Amino acid sequence: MKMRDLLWAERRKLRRSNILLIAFFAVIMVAIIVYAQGQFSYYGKRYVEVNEWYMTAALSLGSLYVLPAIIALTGTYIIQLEDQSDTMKSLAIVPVSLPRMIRAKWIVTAVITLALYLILFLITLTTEAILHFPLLTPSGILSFVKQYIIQGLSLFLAVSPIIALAAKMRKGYWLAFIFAEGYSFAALFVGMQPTISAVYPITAAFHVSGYYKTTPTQMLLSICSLAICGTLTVAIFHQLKQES
Amino acid sequence: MRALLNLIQIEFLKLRRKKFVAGMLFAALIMPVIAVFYFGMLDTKELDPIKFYKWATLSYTPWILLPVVLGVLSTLLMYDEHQNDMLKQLWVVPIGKLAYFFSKFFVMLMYSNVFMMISAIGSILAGLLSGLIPLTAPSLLFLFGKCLEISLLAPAAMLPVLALAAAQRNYLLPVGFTIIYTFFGFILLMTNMYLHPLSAMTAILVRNDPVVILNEPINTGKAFLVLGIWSLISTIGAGFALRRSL
Amino acid sequence: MDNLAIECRQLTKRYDEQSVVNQVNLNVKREHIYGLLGRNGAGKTTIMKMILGLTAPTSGEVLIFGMPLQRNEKRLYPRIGALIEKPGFYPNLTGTENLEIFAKLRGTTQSDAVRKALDVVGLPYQDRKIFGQYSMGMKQRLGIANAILHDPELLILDEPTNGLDPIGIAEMRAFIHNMSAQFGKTILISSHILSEITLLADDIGILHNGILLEENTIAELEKKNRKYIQLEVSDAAKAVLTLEQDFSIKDYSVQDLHLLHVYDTSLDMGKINQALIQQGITIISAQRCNDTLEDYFRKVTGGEGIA
Repeated sequence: MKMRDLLWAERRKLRRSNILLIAFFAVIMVAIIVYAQGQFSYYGKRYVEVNEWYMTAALSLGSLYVLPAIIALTGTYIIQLEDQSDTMKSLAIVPVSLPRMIRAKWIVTAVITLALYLILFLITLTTEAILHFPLLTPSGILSFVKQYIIQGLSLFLAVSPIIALAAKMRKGYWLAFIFAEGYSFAALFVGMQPTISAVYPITAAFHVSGYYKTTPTQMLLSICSLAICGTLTVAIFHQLKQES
Repeated sequence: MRALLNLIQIEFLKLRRKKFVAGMLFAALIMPVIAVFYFGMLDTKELDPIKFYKWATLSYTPWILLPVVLGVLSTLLMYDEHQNDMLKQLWVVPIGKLAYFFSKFFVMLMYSNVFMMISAIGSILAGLLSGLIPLTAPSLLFLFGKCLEISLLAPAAMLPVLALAAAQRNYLLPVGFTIIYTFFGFILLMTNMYLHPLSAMTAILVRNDPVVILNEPINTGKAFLVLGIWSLISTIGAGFALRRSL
Repeated sequence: MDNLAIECRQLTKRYDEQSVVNQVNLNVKREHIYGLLGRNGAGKTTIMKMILGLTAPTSGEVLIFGMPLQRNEKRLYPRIGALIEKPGFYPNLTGTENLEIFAKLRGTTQSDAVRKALDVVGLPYQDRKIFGQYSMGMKQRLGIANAILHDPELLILDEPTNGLDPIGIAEMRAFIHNMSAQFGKTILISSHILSEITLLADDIGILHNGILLEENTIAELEKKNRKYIQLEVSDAAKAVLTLEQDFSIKDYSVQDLHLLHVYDTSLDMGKINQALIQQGITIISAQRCNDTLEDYFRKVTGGEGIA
């Protein structure tokens, strides 16, 4: 069976399902809420008035509090579709290979994550342009695009093992959600210690995206940490294959 | 009243064998553990126990962790019955829609109580075992008093999520909403405490705190009003949603 | 054997200590309709799941078209269509959209396969109704449509009339019959309703508490469903002699020393009585009997019956 067909099927299965709408709504709300925070005055100047504050804050606050849980929710929802709808028995006799199907689901989740980050980027960029158009530079915009994309993909890798574990457990989506939230939330404190922050996958994503000022060693550690997350995910998926 | 008590008892019976519900209580220990590392790293001498408790139990736990856990719990409480199409069976018993809603709310109340007690005991143990704080009566009184306040206020502040869960067959929206709702409440702490039930709850909690300095003194009446209005809207909304649930 | 579509050898399934299916030897002939009859919980679904490779047998093996399923999945699955238990589909998609997914994953090349399959089961093509809003009967029909979507040779249908109304049941029966008679499909169907199986199947397997009590053709079983005269006499052997000599009766069976069944029910009971008494045989009782299949099943299942 071609991967293309599996990806097509995964996209098809999401029709009328409100997961995409909810994820989209979450991103819009992040933009709104961070803007609300930008109204806070510090020495007589509102945060949003500072150039690039909004784009930076939306990326970091969104990535720390909201988006990992939303990615986990989306990923586990997509992975557990067959369990929920009891379609696995029909798919098994097609035959569809479970590991390949799960890989397709993983790719779809990555694409959704990327789309969410790009939407957030577009919203914040537009707002930033309205607020301080003269200060926008092409190189600045480019560096933000890069940051958003890498942050999105890195965070996706950081959350992947949780999605994979949820796939292993029946009804693991509740746990995945809570766990992803605790996991990203803990990054607030982990970030305080430089080495741990380079290793801890959520903060590693910030290192890799260039949000944190990073030394080459830290960068290497972060890349390794995220690579381990990816490998771990693949290993868990591989185990699923053996179980099936 | 007796009927409501019965319903509450039944709600607890329904939670049997749901390990996940008990498992979520572990989230209560996240902040006490982080606090040990945090203060350990700072290397502060003679740490005030109240300061430690504020950090370990009375800040991020009620701001973020407890709301998220309660949001998921409220979704769980509604989800199974929606999923198994059980509501129509309950309505013909008959069970009142509001009594049903309040029985769920009562479970949240009990749950948040247990959650905060675990967090408090966790903080005390974490502080003592790490040698960071001494055991003092005023600090304990303060800690348990605040925990009690939180455990009563947080479920009320999470009523909008419970109402949303009552209106939805699927778990996605209430769970997704939980995260946004909590995040919003947390961010609004800094800008306006009188819009969101969760930030209003924090306003009530820090009302006499000399350490918290705000632009204007805290207006507890206003905070209670915000909480009350949102609770009322949620209850009415849930009543409508449950009536339409057939 | 070449003419077998499914062959189960000593198929056994145990969960913990409990045996759900016990050493079942089930043989489904090509182009036949095989009815697997058993009460709820007899093990019908488990057998079907083992045949389809959805659950692994504790011991024993299954051959489909002479091959084991394992390692032949890609060759065998496209030749099988199945409906097991409640049909599962994505609730947020319409019937057509659901089938399109399966068609695509199966690599179905026929562009109108989905429309045809829906046509056969009487569901509308490109309807707006999503699966989540389907009635039980519609769900069942969609399950069948999915089973026949890729035009398989072998159909495995687990209680296909579940949730259907009487007209739906009759239509389903006609459909299954047609699939076999017109298209030469092999069909394994399970049911807990005796009449359903006897109306449809060529062969029948009776499953009870995980044990296949009997496997036979319906025609053979119907022989056991004959009318007869039951005679209880003082000496059955002597009575048989009289019956053979005086009445030229050949079609009878001796049950024990005193009991015999005579299958020619057109005989004049008065004359038989007279002849037997003349030979000094005491007649304790004489009655016309009619064993139904149901009686038979009750007998083989140890009195519990089927439906």
